[in-house]
Amino acid sequence: MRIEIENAVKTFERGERPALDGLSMTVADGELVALLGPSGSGKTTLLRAIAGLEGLESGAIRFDGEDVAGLDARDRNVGFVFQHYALFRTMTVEENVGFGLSVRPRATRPPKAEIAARARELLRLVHLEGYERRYPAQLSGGQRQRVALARALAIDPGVLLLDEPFGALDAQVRKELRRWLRELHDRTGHTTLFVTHDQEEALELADRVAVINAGKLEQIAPPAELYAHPATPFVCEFLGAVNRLDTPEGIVYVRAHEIDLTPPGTPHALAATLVAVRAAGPRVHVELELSSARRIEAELSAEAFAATGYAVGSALSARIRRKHTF
Amino acid sequence: MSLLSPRRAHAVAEAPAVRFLLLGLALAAVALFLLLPLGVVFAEAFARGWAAFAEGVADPDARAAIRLTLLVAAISVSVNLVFGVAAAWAVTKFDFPGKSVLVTLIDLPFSVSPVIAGLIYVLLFGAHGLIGPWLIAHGVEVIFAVPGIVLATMFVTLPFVARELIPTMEMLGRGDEEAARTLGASGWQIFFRVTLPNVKWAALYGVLLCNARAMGEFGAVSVVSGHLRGLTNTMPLHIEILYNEYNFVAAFAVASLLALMALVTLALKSGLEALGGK
Repeated sequence: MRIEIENAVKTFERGERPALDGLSMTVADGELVALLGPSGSGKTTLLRAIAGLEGLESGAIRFDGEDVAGLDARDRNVGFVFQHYALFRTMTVEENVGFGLSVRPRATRPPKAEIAARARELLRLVHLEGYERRYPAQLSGGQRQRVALARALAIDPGVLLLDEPFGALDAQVRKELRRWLRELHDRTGHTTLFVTHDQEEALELADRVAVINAGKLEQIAPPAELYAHPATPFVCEFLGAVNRLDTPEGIVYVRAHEIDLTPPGTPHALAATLVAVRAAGPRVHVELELSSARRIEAELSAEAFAATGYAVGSALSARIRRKHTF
Repeated sequence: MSLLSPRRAHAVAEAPAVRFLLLGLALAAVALFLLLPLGVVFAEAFARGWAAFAEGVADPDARAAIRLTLLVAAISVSVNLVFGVAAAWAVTKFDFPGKSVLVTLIDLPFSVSPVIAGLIYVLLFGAHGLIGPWLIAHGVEVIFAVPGIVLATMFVTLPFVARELIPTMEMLGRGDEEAARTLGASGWQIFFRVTLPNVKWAALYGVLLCNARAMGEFGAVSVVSGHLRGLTNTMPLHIEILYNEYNFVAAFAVASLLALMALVTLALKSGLEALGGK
C-alpha cells in the first residue's frame, strides 16, 4: 500500500511548538522506511497519525490515494507495534495473536479453530512455536516483541507501523532482531514504517530513511545517498561524528573519518597539534587543535593510526578529503 | 544481595530486645483492641446458649434488619461498581477540563462526616426539604424509607471502587486499549475483553471494601432511617436499639452475625490478594 502524507500539522498544546509542522512524504508500496530523528522530533506522532491514534489539525494522509481522515484507527487496517509492545497480559500468546481476528464482526469472523490455526502459523513465522499457552509476563523482551509483531500481522494489515521496535532490548538481541525483521519484510512484503533514534539501525535496515527534525522532513533518501549527499546541515550533523568549520568560503562540515593525518607542512592541509587519543576498539578517535585554537575530531582505524607514529603533542597536518557545504 | 544480606542480618540481630519489644507491643495492641472485642462479641452472643442466640437472630425485626442490610449493600455495591468503573475510565483514558476537580470530588465522602451526608439528604428529600415535598406529593418517600438509606449508603461508599481502580488504570496506561483499537476492536470489545480483565482484581477488591462499609454504615443511615422497626432498621441500627433496651443477648447475637459477615468479606479479600498477587 502506498502512503502519502501531505502537509501534516499537529499541535498538542496551544501555543507550543507543533509536533508535526507541515510534514510531507510518500512511502511506496512494499517499502521499508525508517523515521529517524532526535526525541521530540515528531516521528512517533507521525506514526500515530498514520495509524489514526492521533488526528491531524490540517493536511492529509492517503492510503493508495484515498484520504483516511474519516477512518477511525479500528478501520484503517494498520498493524501497529508499540514501543512497550502493549500485549494483553490476561491473554495467552495465542489469544493475543488471534485477538484481531476474534473481534471482527460475526459476518467476517473466521471460526475459532481457524483463528487458532492462523495464530499458530504466525507464531511459527516469528519463531515462537511452543509458546502458545504462555502469558506475556513469562516471555523475554525479544519474545514479547515478536508476539506483538505476530499480533499486528494477524489482521493482514495494509501497512506495518513499528514504534521504536528495538528500543527496549539489549544490544545483542537488538542486532539479531534487526536482521530478522529485514528478512521478514523481504518475505511478506508489507509496506513498513519504523521509528528509531538510532542512526545505525535506520541506515542498516531501511530501504529509505526519512530524517525528521522539529516536525519537518529534512530529507528522505536511501541510506547511502543520505550519507553521501546530506541535503541539510541537520542531516549531516545527525549522521555520524561531524566537524563544523568556519572557513573563508563559509561554514563547512567535515566527517571525522574523512580527515587524513599527514606530515606537518602538507600543502592544502591545516596545521594541527594532536591533543588527545581515544581508542574505541578497532577505531581510534583523535582530537586535533588547529592554529585557530579550534579543536576537531578525526577518526581512523587503529592500524592506520599506529602506522602514522604520531602521539599526543605531535605537530602534523589535517588533510580534508571531503567536505559538505550548504 | 549475597554480599549485603549477612551484614543486614547482623544489623538486625544487634538489638533483639528492641525487636521483641516492638513485636510484643504490636501483638498486644492487636489482641487488646481487635481480637478481644471481637471475642467478647461472640462470647456475649452465646452467653446464654444457642437457643437465646437463635431467638435473637430469628426475631422478625432482626430478620427484617438483616434483609434490609443485604438489600442496601447489594444495591449500593452494584451502583458503586458501575460508577467507579465509569469514573476511573473517564479519569484515566481521557483528558478533559475539570478532571482534577472530579478526582477531588470522588474523595469527598471520605472527608465528610457520615452524619453530614445523612443531613444533606434530609435537607434535600425531607418533608420540608428542597424537593422532598414534590416527591412526597407524587407518592415517593425517600427519607425514613428504604430509598433514603440506599442513597446515604451510596454516598459514604462512593469512593471505594473508583479509588482502587484509578491508580491501577493509571499505571496500565492507554497502550492496551490503543493496541486493541488498531486491531479492529469496538469500544465495547475493548472494555470487556481488554480493560475489564486488566482491572478485575482491583475492582473486586474495591467491591469487597465497599461491601464491608455498606453493611456496617451507621451514622449516615441513622439520620435518614427514622428507626422504624422491621421497616427501616439496618443491622447496625437494630443492634443499637436492642442494646439501648438492655437486650444484650439479642444485640450481641445480631452483632456477631454482622461481625461474621465482615470476617467473611475480609477472608475473601485476603484470598483475592493471594490470587491476584500470583
